[in-house]
Amino acid sequence: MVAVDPFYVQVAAYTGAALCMGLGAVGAAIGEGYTGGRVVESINRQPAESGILLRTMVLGQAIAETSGIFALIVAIMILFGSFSATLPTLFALIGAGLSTGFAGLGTGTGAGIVSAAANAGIARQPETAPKETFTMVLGQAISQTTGMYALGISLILLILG
Amino acid sequence: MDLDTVNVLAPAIIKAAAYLGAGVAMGIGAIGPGIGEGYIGGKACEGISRRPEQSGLLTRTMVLADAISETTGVYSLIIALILIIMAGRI
Repeated sequence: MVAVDPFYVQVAAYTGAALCMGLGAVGAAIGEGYTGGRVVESINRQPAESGILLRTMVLGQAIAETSGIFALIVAIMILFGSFSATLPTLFALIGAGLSTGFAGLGTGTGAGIVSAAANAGIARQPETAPKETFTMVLGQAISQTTGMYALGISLILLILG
Repeated sequence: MDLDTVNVLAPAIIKAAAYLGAGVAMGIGAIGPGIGEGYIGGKACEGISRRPEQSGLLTRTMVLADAISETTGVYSLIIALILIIMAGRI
């Protein structure tokens, strides 16, 4: 394959890592912020249930955070990996960053919507908390699957690059 | 550009485009299912708080709806894998 100056590999790595982490942070932050907002509303309505609401909020936000952590992992791998100085590698690095970055936009937001609704539901009927938590974790896990696919594609691109 | 340069450059450019395309296809394709499945999960949680005795039915329906919403994400995955495999054969 066509060899290039290692300088361009560095340019591509910095671009890919920046896009990955920048886009990946957006989704997780929106989702977690939405969850936090709904929990504050719920605690305002049911101050007596603040303990279980806080617990469920932190659990839901931790799961919504995974897409941001995926983006962080891929960005670090792009920055500190050693890659061959060929033309396809440059675009593989940018592609790996875009894959996990864009995926984080969707999965982070989606997981946040689930945990927000679960917390609002617990505030409405506190005795359903175990069922709500189970369905919340299941729904968030399923909404993360596309993020896992994107992580897999990013890793394949990095290994081939 | 003479023919020799084109013969050297073309496979590298095709491979580079396939790698970039795989990343973009999987990344943008994952946005929709992520938000859609989150919306379904949220509505299922709301439904359980209204009718807790139907939680089994609601969870089953949520998983089925998630699977259908997931299909476009799987299409993206397949296209990304095809692009990567085809690029590897150049």
